[in-house]
Amino acid sequence: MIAEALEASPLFALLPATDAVAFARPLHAPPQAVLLRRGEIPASVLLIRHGAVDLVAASPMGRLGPGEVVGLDALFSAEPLAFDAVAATAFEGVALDGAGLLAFLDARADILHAMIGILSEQLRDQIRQIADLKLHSCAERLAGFLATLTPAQRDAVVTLPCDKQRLARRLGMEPATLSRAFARLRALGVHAGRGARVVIEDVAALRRLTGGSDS
Amino acid sequence: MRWPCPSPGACRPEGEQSLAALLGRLPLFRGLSAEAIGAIAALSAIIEVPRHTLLFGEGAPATALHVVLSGQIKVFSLTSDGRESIVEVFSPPSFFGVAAVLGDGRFPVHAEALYDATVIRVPREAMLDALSSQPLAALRTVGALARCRIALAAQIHQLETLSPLQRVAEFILALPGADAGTVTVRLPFNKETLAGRLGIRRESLSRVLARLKPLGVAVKGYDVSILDVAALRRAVRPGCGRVCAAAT
Repeated sequence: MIAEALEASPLFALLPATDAVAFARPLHAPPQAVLLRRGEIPASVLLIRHGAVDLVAASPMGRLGPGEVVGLDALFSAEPLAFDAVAATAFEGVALDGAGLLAFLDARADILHAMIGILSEQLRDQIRQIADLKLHSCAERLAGFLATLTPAQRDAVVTLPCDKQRLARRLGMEPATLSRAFARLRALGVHAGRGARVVIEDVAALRRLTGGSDS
Repeated sequence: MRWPCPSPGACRPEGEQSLAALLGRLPLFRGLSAEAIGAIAALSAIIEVPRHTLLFGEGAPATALHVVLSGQIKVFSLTSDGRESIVEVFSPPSFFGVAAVLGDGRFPVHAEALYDATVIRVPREAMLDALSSQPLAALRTVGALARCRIALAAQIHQLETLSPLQRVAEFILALPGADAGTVTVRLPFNKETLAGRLGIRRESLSRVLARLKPLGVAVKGYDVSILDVAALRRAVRPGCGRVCAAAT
């Protein structure tokens, strides 16, 4: 399980599983369990395999999912954690002992340098995502996506490639927000039923909409 | 906008020791030997960046990371039709550009002084020298990048899950001093920048601020009065429950 979890994480796939087992152990926790505490330098770094972890300070800071790592920033910066890490759902993952991890990496500068490269790339992707989220409303993002499903300029019938829950996640919005976005696009002649079939009366109008912006 | 910002060489501090002291306080360089920090400082420079000056442009070679000592630096991207998307506003003591400097070597965004700013420019060579000679520098760099990643993930989560009203309210509740009871806190930048930072249009921000009035929030210039911080928190986080309460 440890080897699989490490392999699924872009960052920790760099750790040879044969070495990592010496300082890694499986960890399971129920929903609402506080996994790491704010104000402490964590004794372990957590790798999420299944479930989600909420980062909670004075306000909810965000939610991390499978493949993500919690506590690395505080351990490597030798600074107290700025948030509680709370299991949002049942947690299954790997706890990497902080002292063991640091001792291993002390002799493996090559892995640290590779981690810098991966994190830099991930940050670049996040920056692009934020810029896009701020420039385009949910309806605009949905319109842009629907327009990519057909080469047509006028009317078309398209089939969504996944269910609406997955589509919402793919477009970076809640399922309820996706429903509201579909409702907004109805005025532009977009008709979606319960299934995957979507009727578009004017594809060109959708393409024009993606040039606008508001949240 | 003017380009470029003042020449780094023209604004060097009188002694490199002061620059080393400033750099040594950054989480990025914490614990490094005095010799190592001195070597970084010797290649670095303090520069003044007047308001509205472009520090670097999107796609430009990432030749240095920047540490904000005073003022504010806006990091943003532009669409082909000139619309601006503010990714973050950096205030002291913060730094930015590490990922670009150590990644693919190009800045993915523009950076401009929102107000007159003073920044330390740490050249890429200084970072690479430190990384190759100091294992601790690599560890701290991974830590700093992981912290940036968490901050950006939090911002993405807010953009994806919170309404514009909730985003504005959460931003106000996160301002220094917005702890409990009746308080007045101060916005760190003007409303146009605030709207850009939160990913809403300026006119939408006005509508949101009007909707916050019945919740006890009044905004006058940069001052924000909150009648009851706890009540505002409850109103904008209906689903948060005991987890948030415990963390407050």
